[in-house]
Amino acid sequence: MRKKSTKLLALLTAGITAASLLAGCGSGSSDNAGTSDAAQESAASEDAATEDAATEDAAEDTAAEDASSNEDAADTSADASVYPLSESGTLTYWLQLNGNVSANFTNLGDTELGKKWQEDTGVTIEFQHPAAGQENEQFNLMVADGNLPDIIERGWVNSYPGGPEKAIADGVIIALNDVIDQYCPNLKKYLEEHPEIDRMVKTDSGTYFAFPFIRGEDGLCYTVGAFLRQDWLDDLGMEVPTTIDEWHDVLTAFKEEKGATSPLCFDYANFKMSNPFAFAYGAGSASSSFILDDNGELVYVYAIDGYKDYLTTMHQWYEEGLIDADYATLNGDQVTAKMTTDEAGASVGWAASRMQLFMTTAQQNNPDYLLVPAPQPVLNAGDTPEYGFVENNFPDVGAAITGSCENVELAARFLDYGYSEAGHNLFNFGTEGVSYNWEGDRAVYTETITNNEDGWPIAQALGKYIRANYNGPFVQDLNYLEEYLQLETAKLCPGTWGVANARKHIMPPITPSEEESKELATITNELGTYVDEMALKFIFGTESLDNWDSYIQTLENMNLSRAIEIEKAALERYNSR
Amino acid sequence: MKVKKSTGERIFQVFNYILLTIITLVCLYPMWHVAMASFSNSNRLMSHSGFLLKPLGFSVQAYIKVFQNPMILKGYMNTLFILITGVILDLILTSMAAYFFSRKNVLFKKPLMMLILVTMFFSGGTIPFYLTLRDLHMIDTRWGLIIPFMISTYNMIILRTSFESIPESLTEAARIDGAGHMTILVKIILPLSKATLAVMVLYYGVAIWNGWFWATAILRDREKYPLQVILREILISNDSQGMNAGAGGDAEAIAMSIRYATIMVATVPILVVYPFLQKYFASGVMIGAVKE
Amino acid sequence: MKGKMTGDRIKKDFQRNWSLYLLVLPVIVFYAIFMYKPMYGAIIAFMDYTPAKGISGSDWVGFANFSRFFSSPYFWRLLRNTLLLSVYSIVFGFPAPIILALLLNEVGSKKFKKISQTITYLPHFVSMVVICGMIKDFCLSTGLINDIIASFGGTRAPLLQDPKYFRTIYTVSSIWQEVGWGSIIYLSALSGVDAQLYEAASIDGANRWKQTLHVTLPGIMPTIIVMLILRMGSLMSMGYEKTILLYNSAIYETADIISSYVYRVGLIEQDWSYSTAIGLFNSVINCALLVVTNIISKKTTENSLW
Repeated sequence: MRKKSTKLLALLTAGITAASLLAGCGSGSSDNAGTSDAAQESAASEDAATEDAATEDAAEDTAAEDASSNEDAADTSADASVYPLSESGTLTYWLQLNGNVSANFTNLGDTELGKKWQEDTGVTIEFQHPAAGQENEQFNLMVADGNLPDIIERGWVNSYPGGPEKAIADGVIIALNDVIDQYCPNLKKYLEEHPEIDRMVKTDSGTYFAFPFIRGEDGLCYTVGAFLRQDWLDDLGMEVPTTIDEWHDVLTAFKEEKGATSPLCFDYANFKMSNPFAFAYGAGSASSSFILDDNGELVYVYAIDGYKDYLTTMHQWYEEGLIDADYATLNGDQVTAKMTTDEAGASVGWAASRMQLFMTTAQQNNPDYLLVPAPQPVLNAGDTPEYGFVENNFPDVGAAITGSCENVELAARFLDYGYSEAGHNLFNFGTEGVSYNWEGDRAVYTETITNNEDGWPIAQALGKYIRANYNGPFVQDLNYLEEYLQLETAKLCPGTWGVANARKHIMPPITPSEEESKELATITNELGTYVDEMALKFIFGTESLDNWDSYIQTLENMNLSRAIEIEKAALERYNSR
Repeated sequence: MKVKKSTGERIFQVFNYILLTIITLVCLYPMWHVAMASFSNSNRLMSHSGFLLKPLGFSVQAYIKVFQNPMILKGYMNTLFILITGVILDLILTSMAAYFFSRKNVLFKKPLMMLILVTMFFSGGTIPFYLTLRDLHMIDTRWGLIIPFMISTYNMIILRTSFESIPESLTEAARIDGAGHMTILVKIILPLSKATLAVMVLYYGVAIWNGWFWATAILRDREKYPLQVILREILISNDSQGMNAGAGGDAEAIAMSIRYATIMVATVPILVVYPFLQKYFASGVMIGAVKE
Repeated sequence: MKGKMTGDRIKKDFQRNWSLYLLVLPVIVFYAIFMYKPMYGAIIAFMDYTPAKGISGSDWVGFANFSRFFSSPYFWRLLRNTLLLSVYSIVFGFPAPIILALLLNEVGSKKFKKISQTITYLPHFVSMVVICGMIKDFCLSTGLINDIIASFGGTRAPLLQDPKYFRTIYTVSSIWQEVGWGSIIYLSALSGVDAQLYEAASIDGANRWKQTLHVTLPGIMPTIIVMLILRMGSLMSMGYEKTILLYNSAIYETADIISSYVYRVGLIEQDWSYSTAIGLFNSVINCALLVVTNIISKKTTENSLW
């Protein structure tokens, strides 16, 4: 009898443990309520189907393009969405949670913006966020797996290996031409009114791939530049530098007279090529590794002579102790710390979230602390800057509908909200009467934002109500930036930094074809690792610039010329769009 | 055993004490540095250089800031949940495995053991593993951080060796009395292996406490993040704001002392637990190690 | 005849041990699902895997991914870095805990020994994320290590930006973290050495040093050998975790190892098949190393894992 009961016990335990193995699976799916089980099961077969459909779409689209552009003018067939939508539903939405939001919230849906966005559209959104710094890893695992959230917001042109055409071919996202045509009157209207932006947000074959984040005016595109301590300059009797040589003198003075341990201090990770010193040599780039040189010729920025000169100067400055010694490993926090405590005197960064933040922080201890923006430096005094930092109006962030999405219409109508007037105001200004008020035709932020009762910095207060201080599926309004820049010198930034000709030299968001993109991805991955590594070695002097020729040779061995060939072909197609 | 010591031995003894003191101090100092820095005044810390034997000024401001961060507390709760559930399940499954492999006269023991040993050195890789978790619907669940890691083969071998060292006469007697395997495991083997089990708790506990990669790979809901993921964002992440170029934000300047306070908050609990388990180490680990 | 016998044996075995097999069933299920199923998934190494087609539908490419790796400009560098880092941590990291254990074993004061042990174990419990965060801070040009160097009259240098320091930083910090914890095993083995042997030796007139050489070391030799075999088996399996938390592109030359490359290729660059192929190559080498060391050890010292 006794023996039997213990045997039963053995059975039971084995059973329980086995059950706990399975229970994991069970609870897994219940936690995953957003994506229905059926969707997960059929993901694989569905992907195969979308792939076919996508290639077909692409083919159709090219044909349909010409026809539709005529048609559209006469007949706006898209039926206007009435918000909140009559059909409600639940969607999953994957995006990186911005640092200014994650400081106080764990989910975009918990912010005032997230709540109002859902309330206005009548759609319930389950936001999913990867850990900061691990977003690429998580995204690529999701893609490897093929089971995706309904909407994914990120970069597609430069961040998806192979670009949007490949993402569509992989079944990751869907082509949106028909979708936009049918369900998205607001976006459609905007793109029709802005053909130059329309050109940027689609591929060569005319395929729309995402609901783009658009910088509505050029003034919003000059976002990065150099700035330095005006109070130090005054003490030293110096002017704001305009040439590389003057910069050298100023930085040396900062070091010797002001005791700055790292006169120029910015984070390599963010500004390795987008700093004004690189642009001074015509070797800067805001995002792409390819730029258009003086003759309008497409070049790989890491292989041109100007780049070599830039590295030579950087190396010299580094040796002289003018650039922060820990240049390669610095992060934003460390830059902030050094800039706000007299360790550093000049930096590169964004107007509001860097320069203005430094000033408000440092002025608490040192009321004389003052930063001013410096214009794009040139090589010879009196020259007009030719190259400079400027972003495309479409800075490669967009919300795409994935191949796993079952209710494309709902997702499309939901995302189109950002381009409606109400959506525009929500994303740029927040909730009327709470975060902003109208003064004439200008939106002005309230005290809730500018003097937050919880003591939050402006950036975080904005993060609760709007998305214009980072990005999203909407058109950014210059009004936002003008209100955000509160301090006098910060307001000068866009004007000071802007370079008239800069836009002539940047690559538009070109899109290689599907076949090309895979080859291109392999080459540029390899090139990217190598140039990144060599750049720092040249600057630190661990590799002598005498080896420049062998560096170029290695690039050639990695098939650089083929990459340029592909890019050129894609650029030609872009220009003839 | 009182043997008169030679001069040479005495010199060695003195030398030995000095050397060990130095080693001990070297092991201790980095943690000490962090602890002192966390209580220091942020600005003074920036300009300080060299050893830090006591706080520069005294301030708990950094800790207040750390605990105001909602994610730290949530991370704690998540880690605790994963830790407790995980360790319990790990122990159950590992003891069952260890028990099986410690029995004699079982025909398929050897081949099964070989199959298990292979997994120690041969694995499918990250992506196939992720696909497996997907198939089991473990993505974005805390269970996905517990169930796939229930047995560490290394730990299982240690526990098995410990089980093997229990005299067979004890289990045989029970068997003759009609006890089944479950009874023998629970009533005889486990109570006699307390020391090794304590070590297992520690091994599994430390691994779970410190894990971060899989959490970042599978979790999409910040509410579920364990502590180490939050830590990684604060301590390592090289400012991911580049993606938001433009008006992108950076979180409020995290002063150095806050970084250090975060380290303290995340590390102290496990440092506090372990001296309680320490007395078991010697006996527990030995049994496992001496013979594989 | 023989077949029937095995059949009988299996039958008898099941009759006797069925409840035991039942007990181990969940364990087998666990290994099948979480170890062997992913191993099956590793066949994407021989494919051009695209998620849309899935494992069953992707095209076979044979050994193309492997030959791509062998002809990659990074192949030798990755191999060299992985092996060197590993050899460093064996040459310096393996004896360290043995020496610490021997030193601790000679300590007369129980209290001192206890305190010393407790503290040297501590770093083991600090998470990798925190350790690497600390290393990064300490290695800054304004960090603690440079403060010390400067106080001895040296010049400050950002340590994590110069390829030549990476291996040292990696190895020293690993020893720092694991030396105390690693010594536990040897301390236990030491306490297991027969006290009579020491008495016999001291009667023979052997001093402490001779005793250590002739009694202590042989006594713990089996433990040392087993640990060494395990260590050799993982010669190529340097984990990616510490590397990816520490490195930056300026020091890829010495810091980039196979596992971190696999991580980048697979998780950042979406080259899943290629990444899996490299990982697979690494696993195969590991297994081979383990088998070889085990054979050598069996022949020379009669100690072995199996």
